[in-house]
Amino acid sequence: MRNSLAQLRKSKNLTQEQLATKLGVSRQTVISIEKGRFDPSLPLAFAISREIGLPIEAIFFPDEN
Amino acid sequence: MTKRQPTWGKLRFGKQPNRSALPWAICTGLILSTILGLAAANWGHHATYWSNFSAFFAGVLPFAIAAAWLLLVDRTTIKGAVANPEHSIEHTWLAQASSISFFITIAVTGLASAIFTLFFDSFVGAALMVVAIAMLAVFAGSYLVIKHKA
Repeated sequence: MRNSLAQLRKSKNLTQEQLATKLGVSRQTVISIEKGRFDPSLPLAFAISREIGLPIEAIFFPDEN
Repeated sequence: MTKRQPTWGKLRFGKQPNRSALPWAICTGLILSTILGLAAANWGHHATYWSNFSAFFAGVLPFAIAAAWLLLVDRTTIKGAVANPEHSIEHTWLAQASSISFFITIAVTGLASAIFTLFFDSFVGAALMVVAIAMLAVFAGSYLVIKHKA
């Protein structure tokens, strides 16, 4: 799954550490999500959506392949 | 989380939960190891009483401290702990590593069992086969329990 979390996080002036703390997960989790190496659980995706202030489908996109 | 958070977390129980868990775990471990060491020493010969006690005490102590710490610590207060560890990538890594470890161990045990049975001691081969079967039985049992809960 692809996502635009990195750009959206920066637009909110949040560091990876700050977002991770708000989400209650490790910084490595945020790094891996942003790189597209880790698909978050549904509760975590909802939490990200809440923190970023956008619906889930505006942050995460299915792979075209 | 605060900057004064102890590395090894705080006590889960008691009226003063802000106390560091490690000293309590060490004390509990020492007491438990002493009791088990004395019990083991009484079980053996009188002539080797203190050597039996020392060996058992030293062998049990690290595990007793670790077990006591696991029971006493509030995991959310451990330094670097996150509020939702089950949603962190480390949780996925742990699950994947556990799964890989299990299947590698099964394969190695089965292979070793075959090698020992064919070329060396068949008793050792049978024992290893029993271990492999027991591991598979535990795996099947765990799978059924998880399936039943779903």
